[in-house]
Amino acid sequence: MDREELSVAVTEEKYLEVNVRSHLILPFREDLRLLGFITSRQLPYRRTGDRVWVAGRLTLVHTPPTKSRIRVMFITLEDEFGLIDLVLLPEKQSLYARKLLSNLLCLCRGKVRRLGKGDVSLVVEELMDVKEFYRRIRKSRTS
Amino acid sequence: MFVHLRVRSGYSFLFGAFTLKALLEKVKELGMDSIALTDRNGLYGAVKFYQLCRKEGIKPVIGMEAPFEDGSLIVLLAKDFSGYKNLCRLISKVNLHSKGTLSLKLLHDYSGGIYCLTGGREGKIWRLITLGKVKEAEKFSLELKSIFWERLFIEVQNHGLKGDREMMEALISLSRRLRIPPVATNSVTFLKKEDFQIHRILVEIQRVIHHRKVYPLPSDQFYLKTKKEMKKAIAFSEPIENAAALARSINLHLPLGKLHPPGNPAEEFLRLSRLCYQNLSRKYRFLPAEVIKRLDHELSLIKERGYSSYFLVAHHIFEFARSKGIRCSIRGSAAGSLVSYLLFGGIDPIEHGLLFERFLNDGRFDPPDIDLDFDSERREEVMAYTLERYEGKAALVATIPTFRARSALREIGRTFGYSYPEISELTRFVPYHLSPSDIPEALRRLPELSDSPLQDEHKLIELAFKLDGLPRQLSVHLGGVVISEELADLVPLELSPRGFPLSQYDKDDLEALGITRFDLLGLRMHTAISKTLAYLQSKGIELDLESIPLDDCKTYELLRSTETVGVFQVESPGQRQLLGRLQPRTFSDIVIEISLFRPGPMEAKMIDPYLKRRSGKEAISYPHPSLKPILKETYGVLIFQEQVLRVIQELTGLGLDWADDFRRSMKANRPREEMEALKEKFVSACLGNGIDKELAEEVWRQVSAFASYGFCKAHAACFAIITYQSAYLKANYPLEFYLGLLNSGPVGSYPHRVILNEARRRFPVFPPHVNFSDYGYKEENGGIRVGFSVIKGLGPKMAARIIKERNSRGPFLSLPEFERRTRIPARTVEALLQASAFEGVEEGSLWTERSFQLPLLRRSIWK
Repeated sequence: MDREELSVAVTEEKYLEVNVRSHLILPFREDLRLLGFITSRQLPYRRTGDRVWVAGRLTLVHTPPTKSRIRVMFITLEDEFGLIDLVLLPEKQSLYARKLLSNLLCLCRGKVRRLGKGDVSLVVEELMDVKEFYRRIRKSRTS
Repeated sequence: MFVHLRVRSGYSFLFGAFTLKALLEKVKELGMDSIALTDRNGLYGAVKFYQLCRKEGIKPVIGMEAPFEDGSLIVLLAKDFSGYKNLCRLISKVNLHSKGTLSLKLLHDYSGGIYCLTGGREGKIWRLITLGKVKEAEKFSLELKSIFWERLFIEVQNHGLKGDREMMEALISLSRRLRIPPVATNSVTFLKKEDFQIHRILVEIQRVIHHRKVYPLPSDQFYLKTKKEMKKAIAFSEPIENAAALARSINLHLPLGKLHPPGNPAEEFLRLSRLCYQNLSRKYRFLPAEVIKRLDHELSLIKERGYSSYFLVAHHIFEFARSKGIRCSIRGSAAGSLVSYLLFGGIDPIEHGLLFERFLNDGRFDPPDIDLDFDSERREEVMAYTLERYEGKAALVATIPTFRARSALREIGRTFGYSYPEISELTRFVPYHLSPSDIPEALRRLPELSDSPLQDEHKLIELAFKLDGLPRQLSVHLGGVVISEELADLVPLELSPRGFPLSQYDKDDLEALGITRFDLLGLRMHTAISKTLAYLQSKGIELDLESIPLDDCKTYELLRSTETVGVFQVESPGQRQLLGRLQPRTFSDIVIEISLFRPGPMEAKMIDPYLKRRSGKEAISYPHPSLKPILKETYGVLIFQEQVLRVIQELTGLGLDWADDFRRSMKANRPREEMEALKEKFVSACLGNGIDKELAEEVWRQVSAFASYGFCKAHAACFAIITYQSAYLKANYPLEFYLGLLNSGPVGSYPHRVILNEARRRFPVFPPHVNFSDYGYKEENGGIRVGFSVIKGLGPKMAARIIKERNSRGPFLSLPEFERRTRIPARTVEALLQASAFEGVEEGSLWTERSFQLPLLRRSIWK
């Protein structure tokens, strides 16, 4: 974790409405990169069905009403390069909805879904927050 | 028979504890055939109440509780329509010119056709007698009698409280002495005794949240009592009989369904025609006969319906905005009219195949609806002008929101004494759109609420449930303005928080009364575009967005790339994804994209067939060759309502008026039998037109499935123009467009953070700085200088102080000097420091603009 970058990001979060010099994901980028997380810039080059890890700041959550009353959550994350669209299907909501809505930063593994040129999204399979991410790192290091 | 003449519903905001629907159910259950509605300070629920009563076969009595300056009340009931008109005029007069309090003089001026009840325990007479001032009570009663004569009644009540029985006798005696008839009432505020707790909670909300000095009623006896219970409470028969007799004598009929347009339609038709023909020569270089024929057809229907003045008023408002440089446009089905095109510009309906009949036709009798969008920041200028220009005939439209789950939980939580953090925790994850009655199901269904502390708050949830459907307050509708010659007689008014006349009725009530409404809406994208154009103009680039070509390559490239954050209507995740799949190449593609991304088309699964046919993955087919010209644009898929109309017209041989009437009857949830009847009607019309039965039934299957889902093309085309314009600006002038977006408040789906981050990937972004920043964002050295507005806790006033000081006495050279010169509070200085707004200033060293920017430019991560 880049502590200097983290301090800038936290200060901006506290005092400003926007990011001027840092992005909330930047302090963690090096750790994320080492663990194989990809960025929004790399995502469009992944094939349908690929499983990838991404991380970003929670930006939009949309749960449109449906006639069938099945609730699908459409989520948009933002990293330092752009937007990442996620779909959280009902069967995963019991595990991750609360976690998703309670955290500013969200790290998730998903399956790439591509319905057309420029239309790439991830169907969420696993989701975690930053604390859990570092807990896992520590655990893997000790083992 | 007994009739309750004093009834306060939920429209006595945060006091009355029941909805109108619940009231009428209870009235029917008690076998009563008439009931009054007398809410505090106005007639807010009167039209809905009148309509519901008529539907349920109950005789409505409409009135109100009116307060005098000393806080005492009287009850006024409309005897007939003239009384209703006087009530409206009186309410408006009191609210607009007398600071909300009634005087005997005003009562005298507007007493015709009105019954007056003396106000019971909240009335002045009761108060005076309680204080032993019987003579004064007599004097006041006689003053009222001199105004209302035989239409004055002394209100007798008994709620079983100490002194009520004695007071009842005193009032009966007064009534006999002064020859003023007594009438029994119960000040109904809740429907059942046990609902007293709802009333108490509502009053507590007023006290705790709105800090009002109000008190709950003293007992649970203010409920809708049966005749037997009333007889038991009131020991005299005369007041009971008088209540029923008074209700019987009321003969009020509201003229619902009759249109009351502004101005004199007959006189104004000539002006409208002249205006249209004048503009015709400006819009069309060559005039095809088709255009003249269509204009003639539209004008004759407008004349027949008496809508000329409506169009002229809308045009007048539009012209005012244009003359002041306020960006404006038309939206909705009105854009399908040639008359609208000639008056308001926009899309040529003939070129784009838009239909007048979707907007107005022989079978449609609802008032026309022209919605105008204005630059959000300047819309109030338009509102103010309209209200001033049509003074006495114009008012803002009200909206009366009901309790939502979150508001109910939060407000009741406050009355329970919970702290703000506790309430935030309780309502965390409760969706915004939920009704209070949905809370139990949401707690069961939504996983994020599974271990919410709300799960244990049974009492809170139970009380919130009981607030479901109750009106909270009178608010101002987003953009509605009503203008009518009859406004003063039909609509009670009060002052809006910004001092404009505001109707006490919502848009549905006004429509029922036939008052014409104009929606003058604010569109932030217009603000962003206006600002972008101003930045361009300041650089010497004069851009006329109305005349840019609709085939700009860079614009379509941008749309196809799905990098559309900030572009009107196509920036949400779903729309970006659809853009990626659709890969738009023409203006028509944008219209289709906007139409497809709607709940109806998505629910009807129109997107996949359209995209497959477009990309050649599915064969294009038409139900009948004659439908090819109509459906060719959308590869045989019914997307637009206009297509449905033309398909029906083509197959049945009947007019577009009939087709639109038919389309509107095909509502999604129509009962099966009614749909069968419609099918029969359609098939027989097709047979009459020489179409075989099999084909007619097949087309029926498709049309009936899509008719209620299709989107209005005229509406989509209006939006598509703004989509194209914003995409054009983003593609060709990105820096200015970002500045326009960032300086226009919240525009679209994304917060400024996301827009600024995107901008930073293309341009340098400089932090706020005491020596360079303005309040908003500005261009600096080919990049964006962030303004003071992003610093939490630094408002426009403080920012203005910094800028003024800097402009008048030069830049700040050190932190102490800044503090001395601006006298900004330490907390804000701390925020500025943390935001790096003093970079280079603290040392007092010789700095230059460049010395701040270089380190930031080097941050390659953003490139």
